[in-house]
Amino acid sequence: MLHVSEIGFVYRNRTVLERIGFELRPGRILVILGPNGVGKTTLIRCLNAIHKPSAGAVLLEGEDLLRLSPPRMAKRVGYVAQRTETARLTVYDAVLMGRKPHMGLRVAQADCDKTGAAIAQLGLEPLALRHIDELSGGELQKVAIARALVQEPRLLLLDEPTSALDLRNQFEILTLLRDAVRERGMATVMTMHDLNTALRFADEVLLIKGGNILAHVPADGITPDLIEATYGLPVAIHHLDGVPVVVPQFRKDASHAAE
Amino acid sequence: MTDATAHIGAGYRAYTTRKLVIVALIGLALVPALIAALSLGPAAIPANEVARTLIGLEVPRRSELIVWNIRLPQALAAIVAGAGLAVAGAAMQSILRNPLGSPFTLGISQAAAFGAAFAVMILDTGTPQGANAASVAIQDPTTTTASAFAFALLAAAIITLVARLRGSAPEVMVLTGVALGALFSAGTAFLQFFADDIQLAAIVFWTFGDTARVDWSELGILSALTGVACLYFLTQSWNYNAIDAGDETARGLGVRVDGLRIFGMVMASLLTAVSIAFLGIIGFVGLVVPHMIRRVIGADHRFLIPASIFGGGLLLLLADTAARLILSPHVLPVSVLTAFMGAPVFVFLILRGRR
Repeated sequence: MLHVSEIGFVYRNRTVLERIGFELRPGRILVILGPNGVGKTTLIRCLNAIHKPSAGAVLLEGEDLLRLSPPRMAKRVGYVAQRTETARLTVYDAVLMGRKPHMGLRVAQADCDKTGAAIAQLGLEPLALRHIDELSGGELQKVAIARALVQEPRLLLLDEPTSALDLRNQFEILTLLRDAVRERGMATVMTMHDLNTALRFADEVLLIKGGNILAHVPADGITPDLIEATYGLPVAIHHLDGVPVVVPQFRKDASHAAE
Repeated sequence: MTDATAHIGAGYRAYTTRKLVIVALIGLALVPALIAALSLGPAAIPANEVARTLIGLEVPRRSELIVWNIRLPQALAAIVAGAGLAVAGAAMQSILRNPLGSPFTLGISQAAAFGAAFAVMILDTGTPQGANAASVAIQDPTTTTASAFAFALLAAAIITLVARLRGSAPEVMVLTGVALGALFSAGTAFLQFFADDIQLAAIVFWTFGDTARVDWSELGILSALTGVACLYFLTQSWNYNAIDAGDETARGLGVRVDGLRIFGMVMASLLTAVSIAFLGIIGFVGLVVPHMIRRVIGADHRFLIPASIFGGGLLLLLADTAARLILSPHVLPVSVLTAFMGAPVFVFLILRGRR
């Protein structure tokens, strides 16, 4: 169980996050939504102390994460950053790197087994010995996720995991990710800006605005009013074959579209 | 474990074995290179006699003297300094996330040169000794060396301080280094302007790095420091791999990125400073060797760092041997050769592209 309470974050005298608190059960995916610059990435980074929150606590299975040393934190929390750099390193090595918090200088057989399993789980076997600087964006993102999985975290954080990917890659990666989250029972928090993708893959949605939580609802509990309150844009939500689809209502034709 | 993961694991093991073999081959190449370096020179000593000398067997007194007193310290200095400069370059390139990372980028070499010029001019270590002024222009090498070392460390300290105040971002460090390099170069030029002929000769002499300058005790200090620094860098290879994946990713893997950057920088500076202080400035080894090695072995620091250590030692030893032979009986300082060699090699590496 992840229990976040009263997280605040101040950057250069500007309050970015005022008071953010929520709970999340293992194996569930929470997506943070909100306008650009509202502090979604900041919130994610406060959870694993990449940014030091000015107030609040993050309890994971009863343990206060913010008091942990970086290596101990990395054993419990996996983090997929929005951008990863590439170097002339094989896919296998790039994934094996996720075992770093658990291993010394020597790579044990168990580390290799876990690396092999994560590579297989994300369908990266044919690329295992390719260099990551030759991969496409989608393949690279799978490597980053596999790396976070071999960390064997109890909490997985992802910052815009699919923002730079094409449609097929978005769905493929999020499906693989959702399966892995269910199988491994990790509490998972990610930021996204695409509402439709978010509603499709999230179990719960956290809407933030002005440094505070506007709403924390199940993905199917989201309403046009909540979205308008968050983004300041009127929308309609249609259901196509049970899948919610958010359609923006432009001002120009708002008069007849809203009715 | 499924068949698929077993298959991946086996392929990966073969791959790492191949890399280890390459590292070992570069290391083993040092042995014939060392024998050659000891046997070649104005007085040729056959290779088997060199080998007999090294393991303490009976050989002509003259060969023994040449090997132990002249050629061996010089050859070992080349290996140790080459290894140190190369590993410092490899580490700096990762720390600064900049392919131009090297002692020169951070202004450390320029600071050391200024330190030497400062000693010659202000501390008066450059006055001629008797009538024999032309042969060795520096009267008090210890003070000159200490001064060069102090200024190299000063440059490192300033960069570290700026990094602490403004965060350890690579751009901050590189820009500070460039500014410091320009400042110290200007300082050296200023001192040279007021130097008389002999002082000028002393400054220039010192700027050309030469492995023939060290004695056994200096070699001992150089080796000890290089050994400690190499061990440190070897243990940090996973951390450097993580930094290569981006600061945020590295933090997510539990790496203390800021501390690692600053400490790595201090170690690399120390390594550079001690080699410059004893040998003078030897350019391009720190810059070129890691790039050459990266082409052969990739960017995985678990292999890149040991291979750079061996490769740097090998390259500087070969260059040093060549520098002694090319214009024989005249002996070129090795730094002249590395400077000539480094630039075209580097341009070649750029033209070949990254892949």
